[in-house]
Amino acid sequence: MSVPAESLPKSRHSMSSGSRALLGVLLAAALLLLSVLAVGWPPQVRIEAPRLGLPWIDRPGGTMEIRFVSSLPLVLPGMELFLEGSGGNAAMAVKAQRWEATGAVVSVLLPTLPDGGYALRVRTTTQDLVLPKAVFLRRAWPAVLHIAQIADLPPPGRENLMRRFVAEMRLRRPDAVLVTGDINYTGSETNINFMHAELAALDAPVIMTAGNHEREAWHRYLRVFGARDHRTNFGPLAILSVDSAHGRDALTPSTFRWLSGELNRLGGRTAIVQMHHPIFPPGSTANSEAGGTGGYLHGYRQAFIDLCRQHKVALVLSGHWHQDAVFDSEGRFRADRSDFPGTKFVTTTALGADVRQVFDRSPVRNGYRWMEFVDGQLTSFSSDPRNPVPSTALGAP
Amino acid sequence: MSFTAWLFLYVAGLMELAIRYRMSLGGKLTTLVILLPLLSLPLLSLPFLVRLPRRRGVRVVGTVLALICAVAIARALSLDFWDTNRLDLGWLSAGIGFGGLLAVDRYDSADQKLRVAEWLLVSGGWLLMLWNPFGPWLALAPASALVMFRSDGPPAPQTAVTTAGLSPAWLLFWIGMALPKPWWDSDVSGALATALWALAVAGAHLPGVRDLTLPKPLLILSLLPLLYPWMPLWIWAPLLGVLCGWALRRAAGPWHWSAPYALLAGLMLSYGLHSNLQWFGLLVWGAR
Repeated sequence: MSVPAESLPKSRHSMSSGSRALLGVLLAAALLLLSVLAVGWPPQVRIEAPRLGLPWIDRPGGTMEIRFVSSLPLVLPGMELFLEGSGGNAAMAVKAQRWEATGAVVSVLLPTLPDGGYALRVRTTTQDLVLPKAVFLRRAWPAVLHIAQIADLPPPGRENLMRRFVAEMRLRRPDAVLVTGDINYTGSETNINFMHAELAALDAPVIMTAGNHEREAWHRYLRVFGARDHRTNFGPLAILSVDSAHGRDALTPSTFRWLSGELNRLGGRTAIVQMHHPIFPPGSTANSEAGGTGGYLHGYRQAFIDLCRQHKVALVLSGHWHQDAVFDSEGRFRADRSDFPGTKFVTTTALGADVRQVFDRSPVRNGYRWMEFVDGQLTSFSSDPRNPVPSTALGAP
Repeated sequence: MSFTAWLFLYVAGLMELAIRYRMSLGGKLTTLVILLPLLSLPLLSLPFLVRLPRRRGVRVVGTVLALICAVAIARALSLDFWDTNRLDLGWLSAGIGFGGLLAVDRYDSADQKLRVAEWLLVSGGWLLMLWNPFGPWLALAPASALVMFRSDGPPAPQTAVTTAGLSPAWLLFWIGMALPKPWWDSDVSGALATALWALAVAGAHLPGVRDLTLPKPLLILSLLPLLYPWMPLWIWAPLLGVLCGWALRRAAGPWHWSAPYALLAGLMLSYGLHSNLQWFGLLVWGAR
């Protein structure tokens, strides 16, 4: 395409070229600075962590890190920090503060309050933020720990299933509840708020990872539950929550590097990984429906399996298939048994009612999985709380 | 602002945001509004519109429109996340696009110092993304202001790039394939990598560096998407930037209205391949 000569600008000689260039640079710098101020003034914050879904669990007197995103780069407003709960309320003193790429990390001393779950409250001159069940105080870790896992939560219209699960967990009293993706099936605001309220009603810490359905309204998931890949230290366990559901059922290079780095820093803890997508394809025992419904992990699969073997990862927990299944490290289908060595690759059925029969065996559907750890070692797990199979000690994987 | 600055602040920024917030292409009105500036690009070949951006008054209007809309959307979503179905935010996004179109120059400046300054602004815009996702769009108006006061006068028309036998369209397509690799990984590495990339493009315009020649720079460029998973970001992104800088330096214009589509095609194909994990990448780095 040619440009007519008359359309080209005419030279102006009223100002020297150097002065014009300087004026341009100054104007550009001023505009950028003013834009930043106009966007972020007055300074406010968003709390990235801890929160429901990625809680901080520690003893009173321990140091907790709070991750903030600020509306102005490298500026944090003055703030007061509190823990609030049925066990009492207490202010927290800031020990240290540092800046990372995306925000500030503030270290505080956890106050002496009774064991239990607490809301984190942050007050600034313009904000009063309250994040329920963000912090759990725990003085001692018993030899036996119980963890419940759910995935693929009930869609709108089946809210009673979620309420029933919460009621049941209040009776069974697990030490933690893992939520392995697909929390908000339709992406609706009402539904995600309902899920948040129900999960906040649990007495146990909730540790969450995103599923593919979260992408129906990604902004809502980020607003309500937050982060992608994160780690929760849980007594003798390190729970690594990995986002495999960003559109292509795969680990990406940075996620894999993050996971590898965290597994190198276990510090004697037993690792549990949760990600929404199962690791292995359903295989020959799958019925024809599986081809259309049973997506599984693609990128970095073998490297991930090697990593699990190298770091003796006890469990890799998944959802997505709406079907219970267990695989060994070779990808062999093990029905719902756990009496084999090595990492257990476990898929748990949907808490929602739309059970999909992926395998040619009748589905066992109790909605959630119940796991037992003794001295940090996995001893049993089952999707059937009435008939846990098997209960033989497994030892270290 | 120069065409390349507009491409890598507005077009690339829009694509990154669309992926980050899962913009639906399901035919919703808001999606159409967001895409309007890109869909209207063919209109730029109309003769009176070819002349329009050359007038200072039009550029000032475009710059101010882009500035107001960018600040408005960045403030509305400061500490929040973009609901791409919200029509009011869609119009703000379109305002940034149209403002940029009014302010853009289809020639890149011949003044190398100015180009360095402009690429530093592109880098700064992407670095701002660590703080606010709309950082690249906030840098649009400053980039425009920078060039409005440039000292080099009218640029001499130059021939299109022919380095290594590739046209500007191919060049932008390959940049589109390579540049967003870290975007598909996570928020932080995507913005950081692009900021590093733009910094290296600026470096490629510095005396001593800009005169270096490579026999097949675009061939190397085309291989960098594959190298990404193995290379540390702080090596990969500057290497890509220097190569892009050398190639873009020869593509001073005039840029054709279809050039953004070539960049978009590369970006979208890159997203489709998703770090090449879906196709040949599966075989290359042990996914099976």
